[in-house]
Amino acid sequence: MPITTVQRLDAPSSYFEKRERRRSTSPKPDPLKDASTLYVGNLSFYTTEEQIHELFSKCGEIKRLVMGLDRFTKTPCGFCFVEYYTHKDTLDAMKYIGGTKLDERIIRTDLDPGFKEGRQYGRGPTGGQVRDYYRDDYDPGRGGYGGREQRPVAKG
Amino acid sequence: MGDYYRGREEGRGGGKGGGGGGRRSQKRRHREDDDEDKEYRRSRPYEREDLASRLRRDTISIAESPLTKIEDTINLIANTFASNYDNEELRNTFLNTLLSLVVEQPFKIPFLAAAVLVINSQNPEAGKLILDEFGKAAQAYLTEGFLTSAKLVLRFLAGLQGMVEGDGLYLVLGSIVDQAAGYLVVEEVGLALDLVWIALITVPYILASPKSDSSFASELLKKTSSITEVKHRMQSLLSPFTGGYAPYDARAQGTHNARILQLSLESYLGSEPSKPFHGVGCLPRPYESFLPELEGATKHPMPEITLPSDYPVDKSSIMPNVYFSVFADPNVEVRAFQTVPPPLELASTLFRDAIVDTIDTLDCNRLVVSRFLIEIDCYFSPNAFIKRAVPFDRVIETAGPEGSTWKPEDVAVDAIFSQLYKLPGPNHKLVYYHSILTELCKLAPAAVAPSLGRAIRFMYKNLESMDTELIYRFVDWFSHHLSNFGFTWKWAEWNENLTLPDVHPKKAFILGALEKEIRLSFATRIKGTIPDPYKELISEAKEKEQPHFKYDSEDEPFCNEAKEVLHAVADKKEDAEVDAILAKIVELAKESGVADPLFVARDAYVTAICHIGAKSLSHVLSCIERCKEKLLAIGNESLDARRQIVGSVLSYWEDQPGIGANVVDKLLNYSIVTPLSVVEWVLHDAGNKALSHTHAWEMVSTTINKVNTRVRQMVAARQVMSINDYTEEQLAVYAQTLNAAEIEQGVLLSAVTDALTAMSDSSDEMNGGIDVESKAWMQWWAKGWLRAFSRKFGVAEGTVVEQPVADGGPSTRLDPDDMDTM
Repeated sequence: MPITTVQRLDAPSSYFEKRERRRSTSPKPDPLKDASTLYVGNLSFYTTEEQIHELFSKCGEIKRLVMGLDRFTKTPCGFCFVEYYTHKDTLDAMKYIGGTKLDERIIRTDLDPGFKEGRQYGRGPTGGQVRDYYRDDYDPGRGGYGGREQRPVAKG
Repeated sequence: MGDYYRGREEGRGGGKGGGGGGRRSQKRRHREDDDEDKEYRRSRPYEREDLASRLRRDTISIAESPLTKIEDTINLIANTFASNYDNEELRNTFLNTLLSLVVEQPFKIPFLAAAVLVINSQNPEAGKLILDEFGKAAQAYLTEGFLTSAKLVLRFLAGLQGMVEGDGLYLVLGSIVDQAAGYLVVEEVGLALDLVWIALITVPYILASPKSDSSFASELLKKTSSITEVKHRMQSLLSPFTGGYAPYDARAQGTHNARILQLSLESYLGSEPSKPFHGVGCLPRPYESFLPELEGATKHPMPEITLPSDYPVDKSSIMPNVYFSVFADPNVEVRAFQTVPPPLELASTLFRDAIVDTIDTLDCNRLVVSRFLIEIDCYFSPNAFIKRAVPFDRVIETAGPEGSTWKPEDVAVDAIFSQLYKLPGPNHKLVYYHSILTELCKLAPAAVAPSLGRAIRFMYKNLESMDTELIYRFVDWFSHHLSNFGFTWKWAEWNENLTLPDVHPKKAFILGALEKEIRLSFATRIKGTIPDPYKELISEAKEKEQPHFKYDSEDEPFCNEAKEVLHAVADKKEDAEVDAILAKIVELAKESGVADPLFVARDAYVTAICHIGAKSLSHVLSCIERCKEKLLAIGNESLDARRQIVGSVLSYWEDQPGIGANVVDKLLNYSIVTPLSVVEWVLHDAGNKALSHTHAWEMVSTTINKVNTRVRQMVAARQVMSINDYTEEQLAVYAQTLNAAEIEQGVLLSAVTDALTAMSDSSDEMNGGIDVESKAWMQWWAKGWLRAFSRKFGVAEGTVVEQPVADGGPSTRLDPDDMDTM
């Protein structure tokens, strides 16, 4: 029976909704209805596949794990895709692991329609994730200052 | 926090009115109701809400805020509904809200019932409508087998007992108990106890309602007494503790909750409770200030509820809930106060039941659950708890002679652990219960952290009598929990246990916890979080990024050839080329008189694959994928060959066995190794300390769970396979596959049972050169594993697999005699 008096934590964010809407106006079947893949964000660049596996396998066996890489350096850039065998395990990870810590950072999870080749690379101007380009705080787990801040330093 | 916490509803109910507490989501999360959402953002102030939505919001948030007087909320809800009863939209919205709230937020039931009593006194027609709707709901839930929802609806009706003619709900409860007796006759003990539970747990809520006649209650208890004396056939394996030591009241040891409820209800009805907030007195009575109005209100006939002839539930899977507590330690009686009600105090069961239902129903939002648990004192009698976050050593002086010493955070934490340590398993994944404890600590660190600390110490203290599976759950939770809080723990208090042998349960716990912490983090980091005496438990080898390739050492026999294998596989050479080198190794091994020359070649090959894949899981997976055919061929040689593959992997990953276990699990998925080979390697080849290692437990339990799950799924699938959809041949093939799977399961069961029985046997030939104490503990682990896996197979097959554990094995301390002393 669906819960109606509190909000659910396993609902997808608006990310794919926005992307979908940009592409077409006609209603489409929900690509996340049976999603068994998670996008995991706000990882430290130093967090390993084994650590991610250790945490996320608490929600079920993991079918595949794809690390997000800087598209120039091919080193981890702070996100990954975790694919489970079942939709339920995926939702459970949203409910029980999203918003908790891995490697001492609060991680973010989002339902994902499924990994496609190419999506493992950062899309920011410097090769990492876009958010790290615009960030202006110092985050030692994610390469120090954001990419935009770093450039002048690197040149000078 | 605000992002998640009790934001907008979703699904039915229509309105955009929020959840409780008036806190609303800042972010949009649902794409279906986009337009509505835009409108919502424009018109955020509640003033523009229509009346129905506002009533819904007020109803949902009932009793949440200690700053609002409950009488005011009840008045507001009752007046709005009774005076707008003709507004159909409002009427339906309110009814739907009530129906949802009752089954979703059990804490609020007594408050909602009070509001309905007041509604009935103002508008009897409205009262009757609600009563009838809930009668229908109870009927539907019972018929469909949603027993928890049925129980909660009955609880709501219990609160309405005062507006019902005659005996009301007692008649329904009586029939439920009769039905339970019938199920007992056909040996459906699980369902019988569940039904008795539903009937008995409703009684205190009737007694706490304005019409509290207890004569029917006593009659009901007479009927249930003999039913609750029955034990489930698996019960002795479901007790959280084994051995002769009772960490709490012996009457609650290994006792199922239905019996505990029976005993505590009998005791409550038999004598005046010693404190006003004991027994039924712990429940809230929000109707009290309305009693004069309720006096003359119209009474209605009880809606008819016909029990279904049978319940569509999987009866064989219903296990009794066995009592567990981390705070009911009888030793605390020395201090003359308890921070949670003792097991046989009715309040203990009433708190537990409401908390566990809240946790289990609202698993979709752990933040809401955590908030409820922190605010648990809002939902019971105002005197039932001492105020929040009183330090343990100030409880007595704060409580005074008459006040309650029950700490709300202890009661909440205790209930969560009762689920985390529930056997065979709780309703949700273990990590859900981890996540609630994490959120509680984030919400109210000052209150919850000390409470958790005492829980941890209790479990640590009782490790020697704890069920083996629960020891591993404890390790898993503890390490995961610390990983959310900077890995801080007062390790120093366990310093004296560092001299114990590694296989002592306490030392094994420390080693296991550190190992699991490292797996979630990394060795150097963990080393930095522990006191000096602990640092030597983490070897330098664990801090290395990759294990070394043992054939790099010139002392290793056949090292040159093994290095050739490594390079050939790394350079993706043709299989023929690799085969040639392996053949050379076999030849050389033969010449030098090695007993099993193939062994050396296999080890070189598997070790090479591990080393090439050492960088990450993806690396090793792609390497396995590439070498799949050859690995399958090696595995197909013999059971010993498969066992050896497991051994080579674990030997390569000796210092990070968690990764090794993971690689083996992937090999299992490729069918390169078989379940039997994994289990046999752990039980025969992994060394005599293996059973105390958390990765060894994980390897065996994961493997066995996979096999059991497969059989269970196949059995379930066969039941729905119809002769119309499949040809006879297809069905025959399926039957054959299932039969093979069941045979494999049987072989595994006997392999596990035989090996563990042998290991728990005290014969002297084995384990030569090991000190007496360690040896005793190794046997202890073997007995514990035997008990745990008997349970796993017993549950999986739905048959009696109570192994003959009587002599020397875990004994249940709950004798029938103990039960009768009450």
